[in-house]
Amino acid sequence: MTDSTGGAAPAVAPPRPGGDWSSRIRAAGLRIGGLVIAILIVVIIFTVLSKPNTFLTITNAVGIMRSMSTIAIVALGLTLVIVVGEIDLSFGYMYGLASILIGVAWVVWGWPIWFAIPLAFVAAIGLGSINAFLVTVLKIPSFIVTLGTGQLVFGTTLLVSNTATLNPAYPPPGKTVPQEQVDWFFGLSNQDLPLGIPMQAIWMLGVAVVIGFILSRSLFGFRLKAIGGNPAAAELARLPITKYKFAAFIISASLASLAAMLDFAFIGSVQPNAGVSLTFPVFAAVIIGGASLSGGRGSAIGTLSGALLLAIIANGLALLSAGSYLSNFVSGAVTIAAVVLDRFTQSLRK
Amino acid sequence: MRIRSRGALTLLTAGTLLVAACSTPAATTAPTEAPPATTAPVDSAAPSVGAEGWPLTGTLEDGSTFTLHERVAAKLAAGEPINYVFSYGSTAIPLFSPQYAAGFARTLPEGQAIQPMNGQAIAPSSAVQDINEQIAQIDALFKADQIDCLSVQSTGTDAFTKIVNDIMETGIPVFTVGVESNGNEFTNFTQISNNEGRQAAEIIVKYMTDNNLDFKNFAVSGGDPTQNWAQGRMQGFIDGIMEAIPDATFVNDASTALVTTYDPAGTYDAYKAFIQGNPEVQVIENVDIGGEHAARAIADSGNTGKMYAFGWNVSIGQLDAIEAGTQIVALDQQWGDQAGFGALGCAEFLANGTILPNSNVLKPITTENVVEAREEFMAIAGG
Amino acid sequence: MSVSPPARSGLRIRGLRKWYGDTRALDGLDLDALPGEILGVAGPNGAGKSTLIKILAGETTADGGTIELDGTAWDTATDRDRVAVVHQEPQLFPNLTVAQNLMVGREGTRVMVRRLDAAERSLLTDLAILEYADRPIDTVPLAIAQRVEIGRALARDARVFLFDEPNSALTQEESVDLFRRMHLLAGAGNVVILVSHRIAELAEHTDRVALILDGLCTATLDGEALTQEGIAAGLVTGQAVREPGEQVVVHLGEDAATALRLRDWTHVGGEFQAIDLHVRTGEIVAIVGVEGSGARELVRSIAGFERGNGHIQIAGPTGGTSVADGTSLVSADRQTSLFSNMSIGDNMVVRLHGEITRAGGALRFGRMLEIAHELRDRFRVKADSVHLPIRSLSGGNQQKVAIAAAIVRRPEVLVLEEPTRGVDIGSKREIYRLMREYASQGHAVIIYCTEVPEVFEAADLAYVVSDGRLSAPLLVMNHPDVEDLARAVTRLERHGSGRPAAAIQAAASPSE
Repeated sequence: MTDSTGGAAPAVAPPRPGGDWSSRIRAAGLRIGGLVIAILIVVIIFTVLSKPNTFLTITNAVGIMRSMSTIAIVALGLTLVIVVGEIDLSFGYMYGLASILIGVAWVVWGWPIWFAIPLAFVAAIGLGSINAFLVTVLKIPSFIVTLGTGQLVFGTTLLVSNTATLNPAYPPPGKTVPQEQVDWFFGLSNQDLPLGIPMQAIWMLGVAVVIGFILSRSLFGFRLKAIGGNPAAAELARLPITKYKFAAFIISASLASLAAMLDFAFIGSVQPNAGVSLTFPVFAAVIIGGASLSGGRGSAIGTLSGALLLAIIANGLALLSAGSYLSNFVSGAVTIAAVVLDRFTQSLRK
Repeated sequence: MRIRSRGALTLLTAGTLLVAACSTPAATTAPTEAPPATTAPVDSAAPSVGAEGWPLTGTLEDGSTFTLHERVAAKLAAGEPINYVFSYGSTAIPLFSPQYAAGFARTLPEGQAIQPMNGQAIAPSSAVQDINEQIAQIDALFKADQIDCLSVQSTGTDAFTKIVNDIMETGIPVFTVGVESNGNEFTNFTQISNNEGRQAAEIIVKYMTDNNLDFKNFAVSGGDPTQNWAQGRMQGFIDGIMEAIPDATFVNDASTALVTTYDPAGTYDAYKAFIQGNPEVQVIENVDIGGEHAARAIADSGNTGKMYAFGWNVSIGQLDAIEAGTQIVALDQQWGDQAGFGALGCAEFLANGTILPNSNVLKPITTENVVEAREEFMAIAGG
Repeated sequence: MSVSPPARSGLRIRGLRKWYGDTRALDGLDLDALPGEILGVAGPNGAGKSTLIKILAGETTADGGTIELDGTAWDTATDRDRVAVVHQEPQLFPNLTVAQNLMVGREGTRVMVRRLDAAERSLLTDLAILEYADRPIDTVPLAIAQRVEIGRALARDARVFLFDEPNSALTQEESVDLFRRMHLLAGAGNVVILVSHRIAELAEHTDRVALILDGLCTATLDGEALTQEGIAAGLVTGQAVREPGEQVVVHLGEDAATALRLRDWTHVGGEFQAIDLHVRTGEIVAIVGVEGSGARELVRSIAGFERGNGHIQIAGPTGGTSVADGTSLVSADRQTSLFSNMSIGDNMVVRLHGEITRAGGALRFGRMLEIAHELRDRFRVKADSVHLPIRSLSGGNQQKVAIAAAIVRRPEVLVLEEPTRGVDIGSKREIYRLMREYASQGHAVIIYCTEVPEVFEAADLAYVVSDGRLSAPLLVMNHPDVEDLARAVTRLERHGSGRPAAAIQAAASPSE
C-alpha cells in the first residue's frame, strides 16, 4: 500500500528557549491550573450560598479532609492502572471484600488483628493478579475483565460475610475480641491530632507521597507512562509490560483494601455492601485530576485535586441539604465537564 | 488472524461473564440465607370452611369473586401439605436480610402447626432490591405450579400490583408485607409510612416534654429519600411535628432531604457537613438505618445535648447512640414480624378461612428497652 | 451493464497540483490513461502516487489542474460513481454479506432489504463469487473480498478502475486470476490503472507505465522500453549520487567478527523460508523487497518481532547474546517508535534502566539530561531543549531520535525498517552518516528497504527477497550508478507475484 507523502513540518510554535522548570510547570499548569480555578469557584459559590461562618471554617475543612481520604487513597491506586493504559472497575468490590475479610477473620474466626489485616492484602494481591493475568496473558480488555472480577469478588464477599454486619466491640454470642486489639485497630483511624485533623488524612498524604514519587521520580512510573502512552512502542523498546501491569493492578487492589481497613477502623463496623458507591467518585477523581483514559498521563497531585474537588462538592451539597435531584445532577455535570476539559486540553496539545 | 482472535475473545468474554453470572445466582430456589424447604408434619384432618365460604370461595374488597385454585383445594381435601412461598427483596442487604430470614424461620413451624405446608423463601442476591429479578423468581415458580400460597415483600408501592393480581385471579392466595401496596391481596402487612412518620413525631414530642427540652428546629434525611416509604416517613413526621409545635421550623423538607447514601463513611461525612451548615438544627430524622452516623456526627462536633438524631430499624450503632443520649429512638418496624406473617396468614386462611388483618406495629426502642433490644438483635443478626 | 457513450477517449489529467502545507505532493502532473489498456503507475514512496489515487478516488481535492474523462470535465470529489478503487485491503463493510455489500448505496426506495436482481446475480457469477453471496465479508478470503470490490464498482457502472497494490497479499493463483480480470476489464473498454511496486508484474501486464517522481510524471515507458530493467532504472534516475570522496568502508574480510548468523531460518507465518544469512560487524546490509515479498518480516524477525524457526545467533564480543539484548528495532512507522506523550529527552532514554536510576528505583534526572544532550549533539537533532514534546520536531528529526533511542543500549545488531521514510533530504544524509558511524564502531546495521536509491547511498551489501527467498548478495560498491544497481536488483526479483499458496513448500520454479 502506498504511504503518505513526506513528513511535512507540523504547525507548532517554535521551541522556546528555557530550562527544565518552565516547560514542566507549563505542562502541569495547564491542567492543575484549571482545577485550582474550579476549586476556587466552587468554594466561593458554597460560601455565598451557606449561612455565614459555616462552610469556610476549620471544622468544615477537617470534615472535607476526612471524606476526601477514602476516595483519594483508592483513586491514587486507580491512577496507576489508568496511566498504564488499563481500566479497573473492581476496586469498589475489593474494598467490600477487604473490610469483610478483616471483620470475619478477626471477629468470627478469632484471628488476631495482626493476621486478619494481612489477609485482606493477600486477597488484594490475588485479585490484582487475576485481573492482570486476564488482561496481559489472555488479552481480554480490562474493562470487561474487571467488570467480571468485581462481581466475582462481590459474590465472595457475600459468601464470607453471610450478609452480617460485624462490630468488633460487640462480637456475636460466643466470640470474643481482645479489647487491646480493638483499641489499637480503632486507633489506626482515630487519633487526637491538633486542629482535629483526621488521622485518615495523614494516611492519605502518606499514600500520596509514595504514589507521587512513583509517578514522577521513579523508573517504574516513567515506564508506566511509556507503556500507557504507546503500547506498541513500549513493545519495541522491550519494556517489561506484563510485569508492570501486574504491579499496577495489584497496587490498585491493595490501596482499595487499605482504604477499606481505615474506614472500618473509623466507623467501627463493617457491612458487605460497602464500597460499591465508591466507583463513580473514585473514577471521577482520577479523570478530573488529569489522567488520560487512553493512558500515559497522570499524577498524584492531580488525583488528589480531583478528590478534593469532589469532596468539596459533596460537602457543600450536604451542608446545604440540596436534595437528591440536585446532588446527582451536579455530580454528573462536574464529571462530564471534566472529561470534556480533558479532551479539549488534549487537542490543544496536539 | 483477525477472525481467530475475535472468536477467542468472544469465547473468553462469554466465559468470564458466565462465571460472573454464576457467582450471583438468580436464586429460584432457597438462597444461602433462608432455611431449606421443609416437609410439614402430616395432618389428615380435612380443612374446615370458615365464614363466607373461605377459603374455597368468597368476595374480595373490590367486589370480585375469589375461587380457590382447584389444585390447592384438592390438597386441602386430601390433607396434603401445600406449598407456601415467601418472596422478599434481597439476601444481600445487611441488617435487613438476616432479620427477614430469621423472621421467616421463626413462624414457619407455627404455621405448619395450623396447616401442613412446605415453606420456601426466595430472594435475589443483589446488593439492592431488584424488582424485576424478584418478579422473575416468583413467576418462574408460579408457572411451574409450585406456589399454593404466596407472601411477597413488595419493594415498591405499585411494582407488584400486576403480578399479585394475576396470581390472585388464578385462585392462589397472596399476602404482601413490608411496604404499602395496592393490589388485590388479602392483607398488606406493613407499616403505613405516613403513619410511621406521625408516630415518630408523637414519640419525639413526648421525649421533649419528658425531658424539659424545647425543640423548634428539625431536619429530615435518608440514604435514598426518593423512595416512597422514605417520603411517607418524612412527610408524616413533618405534619405531625407541625401540628404539635406550630412554630417549629424545618431546615429542609421531603423534596430537599439530605441524601446520605448507604455507605457508612459517606453517611457520616454527609451529616458532619450538614450539621456544620445548620448549627441550629435540634432533631434530625433518618428514615432508615443511618441514624447512628448522625448521632456520631453530633457527638464529634460537640453537640451532644443540643442535637438529637433518630431513625428506623435496629443496629448496634443506633443502640449505642440511644444509650449515649445522642439518639432519641430507633423505630423497629419489626422486620421479623413482616417476614413471618405469610406463614401464619396462609395457615389461618387455608385451614380456618380466617383472614389475618394488618397488625404490624412500630416498636420504639428508647433508653427504657434498649438492653433487651440489644440482646434480641445479637441473637439474630450477630451470627 | 453499461451503455457505451459515443466518444471514449479515456482519462486526461493536466497540470494536477496538490500541496500539503509547504510540501508539494503533486507538482503539475500530466497523465493519460486510454480505454482498453492497462496503465501502470510506478514511483518511489512519497513521490505522489498515493495522492494521485486519493484525488482520483474523490477522497481529497486537488489544488489545481484539470481532469477529464471521455472528453468532459470530471469533478472527482462529487462524481464518485465513475471510479472504483480496488485496494490491497478491501474497504468494504465487514459485518454485511457479500450481496449486501454489492447493493449498498443502491438499495432504492424500498423499506425492506431487497434481494439481488438478475443483473447482479450474473455479475457475481462472472466473478465466480455467487456462492459467497450470503456470507459476511469478514469471513470470506481476501481474494474474494477484492472481487466484491470489483463487483461493487461494476454494479455502479464505473468507468475507471484503479488497482492500488492489489495483490501483495494474494497467492500465485489468485494473482493470476486478478490480472486476468483486469485484462477483461480493459478489454471491455474501461480505463484500468495499476499502481504497483512490483516491477516484474508491471512489465508483464501493462501496456504502458508512467513513472511518477517528485510529484510529476517524468516518463512513460511503452513498447521496447517497457522492460523490467527499464522500469527499475527509470525509477531511480538521478535519485542518488555517490559523492566523490565519500568512502564506503566495507569489512568483507574474514577477520571481521560475526554479528548475525541465520541458518535455515523460516517464518512461522510462511512469509519467508530457509534463509541463510551471515552479517559481520562493520557491515551495513540492506534487505530489499516489495510489500508481500517477505523482506519486512525477515528483517523484523531478526529483532524478534516476527517469529521464526531455525538457527539465529547474535554474537557479541564475548560470545552469544540473546536477541532481546543484542538487537534493537526501529519500525517503519514513527507512531510505533516514539512516545508522543513524552519529551524528546525522555524518548531518547526510555530504553535504559540501570544507567539512569539510583538504588531504590529513583530516576537520576541529571544523568538522563546528560545522555539526552549527548545524543542530541551527536545526532544533530534540531531541538533547543530536550524537554519539548517529541511532536514539536520535524519528521526527520523525530526519526533521528527514534534511531538514537535504539542505539543507546549499543545493540550488536541495529535493525532499521525503512530508515528514511518520510524524511527530508538533509536528515536522510545525516541518518546514513549515523548508520555508518555506528557500524564502524563494531556493530552491524541491517535495513529493510523498498527503494533502491537508499540501498545505493547507505548499504554495503544488498540482498533481494522475493517470494520468501533470499538472493545472492550484491556488492553495492561494484555498481557505478544507481540505475545499474536498480537493474541488478530487479533481475534478482523473481518474476511473477504472490507468495506460495500454503505453508507447504511447492518446488516453485521462476515463472519466466
